[in-house]
Amino acid sequence: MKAFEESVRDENMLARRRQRVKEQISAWALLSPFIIILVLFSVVPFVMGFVYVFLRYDPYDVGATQFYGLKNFEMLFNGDISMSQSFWESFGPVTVYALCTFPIGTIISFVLAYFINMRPPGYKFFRACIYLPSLVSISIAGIIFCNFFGPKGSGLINSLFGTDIDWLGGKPFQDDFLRWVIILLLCIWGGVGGNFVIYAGVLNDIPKSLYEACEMDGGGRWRQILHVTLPCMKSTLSLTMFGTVVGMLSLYGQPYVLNTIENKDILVSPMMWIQKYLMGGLTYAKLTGFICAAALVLGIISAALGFIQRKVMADRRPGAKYCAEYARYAELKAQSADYKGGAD
Amino acid sequence: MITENENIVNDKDTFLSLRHLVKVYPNGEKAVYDFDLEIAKNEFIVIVGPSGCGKSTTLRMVAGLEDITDGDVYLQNDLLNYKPCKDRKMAIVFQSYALYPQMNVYQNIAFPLTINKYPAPVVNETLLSVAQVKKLLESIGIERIAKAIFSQHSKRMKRKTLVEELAVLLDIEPCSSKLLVGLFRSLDAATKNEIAVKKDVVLSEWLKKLDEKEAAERTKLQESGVKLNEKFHVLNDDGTEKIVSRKLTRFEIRTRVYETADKLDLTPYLDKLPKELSGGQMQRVALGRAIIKNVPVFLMDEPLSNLDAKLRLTMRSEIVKLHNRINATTIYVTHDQVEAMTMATRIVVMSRGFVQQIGTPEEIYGDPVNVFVARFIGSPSMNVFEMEYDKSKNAYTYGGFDIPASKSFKAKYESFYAEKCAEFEQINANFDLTAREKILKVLSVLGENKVKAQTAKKSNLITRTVNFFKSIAKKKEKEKEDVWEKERTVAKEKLEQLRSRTEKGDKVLIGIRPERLEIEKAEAGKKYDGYYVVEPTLTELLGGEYSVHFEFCGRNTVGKLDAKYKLKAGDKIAVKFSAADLYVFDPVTGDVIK
Amino acid sequence: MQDAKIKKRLTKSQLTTRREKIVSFIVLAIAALIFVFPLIYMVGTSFKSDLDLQMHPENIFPTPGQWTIKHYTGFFINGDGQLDNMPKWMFNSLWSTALTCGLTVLIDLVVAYVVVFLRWKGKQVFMKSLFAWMAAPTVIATAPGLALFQTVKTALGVNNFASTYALVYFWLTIPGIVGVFNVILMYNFFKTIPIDIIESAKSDGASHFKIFLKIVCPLAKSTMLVIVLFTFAASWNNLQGPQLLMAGEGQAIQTITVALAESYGGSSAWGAQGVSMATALFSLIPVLIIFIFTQNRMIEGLASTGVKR
Repeated sequence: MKAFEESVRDENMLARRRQRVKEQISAWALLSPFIIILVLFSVVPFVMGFVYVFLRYDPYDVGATQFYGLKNFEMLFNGDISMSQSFWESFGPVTVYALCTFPIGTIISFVLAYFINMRPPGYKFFRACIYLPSLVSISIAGIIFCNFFGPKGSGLINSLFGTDIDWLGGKPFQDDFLRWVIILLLCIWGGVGGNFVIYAGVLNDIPKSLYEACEMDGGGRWRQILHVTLPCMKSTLSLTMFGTVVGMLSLYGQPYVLNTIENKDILVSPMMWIQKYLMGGLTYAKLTGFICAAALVLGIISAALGFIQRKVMADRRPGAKYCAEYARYAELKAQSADYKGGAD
Repeated sequence: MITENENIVNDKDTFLSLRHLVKVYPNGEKAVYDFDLEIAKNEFIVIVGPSGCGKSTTLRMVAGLEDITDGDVYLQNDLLNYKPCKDRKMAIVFQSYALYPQMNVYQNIAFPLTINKYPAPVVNETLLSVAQVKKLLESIGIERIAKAIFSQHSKRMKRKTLVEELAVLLDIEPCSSKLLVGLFRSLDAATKNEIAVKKDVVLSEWLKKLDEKEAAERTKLQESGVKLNEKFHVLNDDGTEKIVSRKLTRFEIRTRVYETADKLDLTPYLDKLPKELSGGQMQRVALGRAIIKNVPVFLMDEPLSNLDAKLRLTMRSEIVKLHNRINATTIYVTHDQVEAMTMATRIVVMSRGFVQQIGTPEEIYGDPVNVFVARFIGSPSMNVFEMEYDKSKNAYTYGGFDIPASKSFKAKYESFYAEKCAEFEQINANFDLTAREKILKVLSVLGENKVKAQTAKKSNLITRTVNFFKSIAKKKEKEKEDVWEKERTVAKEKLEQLRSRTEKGDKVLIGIRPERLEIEKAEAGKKYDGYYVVEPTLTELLGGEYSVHFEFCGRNTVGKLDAKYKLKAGDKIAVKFSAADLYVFDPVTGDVIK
Repeated sequence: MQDAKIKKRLTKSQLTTRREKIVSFIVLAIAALIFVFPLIYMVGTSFKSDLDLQMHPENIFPTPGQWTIKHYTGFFINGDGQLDNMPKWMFNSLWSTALTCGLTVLIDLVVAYVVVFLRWKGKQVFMKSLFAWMAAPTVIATAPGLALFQTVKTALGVNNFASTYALVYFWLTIPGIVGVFNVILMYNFFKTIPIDIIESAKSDGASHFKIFLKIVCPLAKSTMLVIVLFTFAASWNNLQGPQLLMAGEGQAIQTITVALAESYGGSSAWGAQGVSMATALFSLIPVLIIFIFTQNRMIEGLASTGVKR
């Protein structure tokens, strides 16, 4: 009898174990397409990015691969080579641009979200209108904006005001200020929508009683924004800003579509630089290692910036000092009895 | 121009007065009907009612978080209706605590102090500090002062911290301790170390300095013509103290927060963020944020309903103790009648926006005005069943079982119905807004079919235009009739029912509290006269007593039986209904007949 | 007397609410107009006649009576009476985007289901590495990715149009379906499904496949929609990736977005605004259709992604 029970139990255990193993196997089997694709098309190139920088590599002539050591980096940091020079120069405009766009874009999307949350009549329609440009591809946006800011005969703005301003011309740090303003406009036009919608969602989720508590405590609108709205949105703000910071350095589409013939070949962002030489076909194929080195530098810089942004915005708990201060206070209070009334 | 209002205002007992408050939401839904209550100082008012009865809305109107549609709120004769919340001298505690998630406990409690300005008398700090230091030198002597400074000074600290700590230690104002530290620092090192020996020299030197300072300040004041009172507060020309709104200093805030935290046992958690606290602790922080404002009125919106049962019990008594300690006036909203009974000095029972009864817990429990209050208050709730009132026998009967009514009941019964008939005839004759609300109130008592409380829609532009066109089409009268049709029918029905009663008596609602039922274990063969003998449908042992359920008049009825009688399956019980403990309600209006 | 006067006044919060509504309405109306204006201008310009384009670039809409659909007909059949490139681009974009969307949703559903509802070892490590991968700067992988592509291309001996087309689009769609962000979106949603539902279905004898199909998938509809829209917009509007793969391969292979950027982008569009605007509008239609039909759900879904994080 006992033996029978035991055998049943054993069998049950075996069945369970078999079940476990089965689940384990099927889990990995189901995950395998995802993992394989991710590894093959994303992880492997990513890792190779760290390998190619040490090689002279030509995808059309794999046999000729050579170990280059740090030569690629030496080339990259050698200002005399015009390619390297243009790479480093491309950081200039994009940095200035990022410094302007980042706050402006964030503030605009926050302000619009704040107003949407007041729920005026027709807010859903407005929300859709503001979000819509985010879905418009950069090429279409480029076509539209080029028509807006085209030369006198064809551009909307110039014709409208009877001016003859060369909006899109100019070279970095010389006379291309207007072009950057338009790139900025384009970025805000197409880029604000996503964050705006996310902020509106978060704003809507802030408990109303917090605002009421602040109102009871005597806080007006600004205090409510400062002490309730912003702190409650902080984690979301931080995350979206992370996306913006990283996206900013890989600026490519906007300047690419907004150019005139005279500045078509001027590289105003490192991403444009990389893209240009990668698209160069056979001519630049043998420089793959060199381009990889540049990409690596860009990647590290953007990761570092993102990291700094996350650290700056990270939740910092208010300093843990009040307990100690209270202890001191209580101690003094207790002692103060000794000093009362002159009793010796 | 002496109006009725002013008479009430002059009533000395009234502290906070809520006069005929009405709330209509923008969608036209009426949430509160004519809430009228005068609250004396230090009262603990509990507004209780089922969810959605308008109790929170009332509280929020008082707090200023919700607009008052009609009626007034006065605090000490001060009309509050149009004041913003922060000027109403009130603090509110929310059900969800509403703590700022990014601030720790200290900052949460301190928040109201940090952002507001508070009126305070202007003090001449120089003279105050001179006087305080002089007094200190006299009372505890230079030696001990030096000792106090030394005991703090030895740790290398900032001068500001030293000044603040010394102020706490010697129980003086920071300006005085600053002066003291200044005097002490001016001594050379040798003197500092041998202060015991040279104390007389130092003392005379210090006194001289202080005198000089005082004299200088006095002449300066005289020149500028500023007058002070004995507390060194600056006076206005008319002799009153000059009051200026100012931000509190860090020192003042800190002292107050620590005192508050101490009162609430929150001191170990000062550095914690709200998300690291338990429900009870968060609740206490919310209370702290309310009491630190030092306001006369506290509003609490179901503050305990997010806590577990055990904690709720302790917090209940904590809140009452706190209320007594700080001499507050509290309005407390809850749906839990136990909280209402245990905490309140007066209870307001509400249902569907109507105030059903206002009274002390004893009154509400012992003397409910209608069947809603009777059922709502008390745990387990009152047994209510329908019986026939036989006028000729002067007894309530059901299925051959008689309960004799009290002798005077017949007269009461007759006068009650005569009165009610008259009232309803009046209502039917002139069916206006007040009449309609009376009908709605009757329905709210009985919990009968809810007529959607539509009043004239709050006019926005569109409805106004629509109404305008409607009135042109002369349909308006008809519309109005249609809206109130239901209430009219109800009013007619009620009148019919009331009229039919006066003749020989009819059904009435009999209520009796479970704890007042006299129950015995029925023994076989014994005759029980005037008792109702029945087999219980369910008995629950609650430790010391049974809760006995049995069928009576077709209703499940609950009573209590001491656990010393051992009840077994099949045992019968004998129940006695004594006339003195019965409540008789009119089934038509739900009001008590007495 | 005075009391009565005061009472008629609106209370402060009523005033604030009203003012809030008015101010926000005005601000949003202006903002919405600004945001939509370029698109309106695009529509208007695409119907302008050549003469109108030259004479009145400052008008938003064509001169009355001069509306023309010439620019639209032009890109179907070209001057030689042959099929123009435009339908080809459209077709390329449509099928590749549709495939990417479908596969993405499928793979996200499966991965999230496996991670949330199956018991297996390595779950924590898997999720942690996914989160880590999200923060990796992908720019590092662009050059080697292209090199890999070129190596494979050479190794397979791809040289004619058909095989190039197949390889390019394989390389475009397949890597696009493993977006980690979407997986995490779905994973977050699945975590909100009460485990009790799954357990009770299990105890009723349902297999994992049944649970997945009958319980989880219907629940995940709104998240699926959000992912479809994200993927659709991202894939349809992708410029950089396809540009790299299609460099030097001729126009017929391009997606609409690449083609627009290269053929009409920047200064190259001048003198051909009508056609470029018409083409742009035409290529926007699929995105617009999807947006119009799902905009509320989509925006709310998008908003909730921020809340959950």
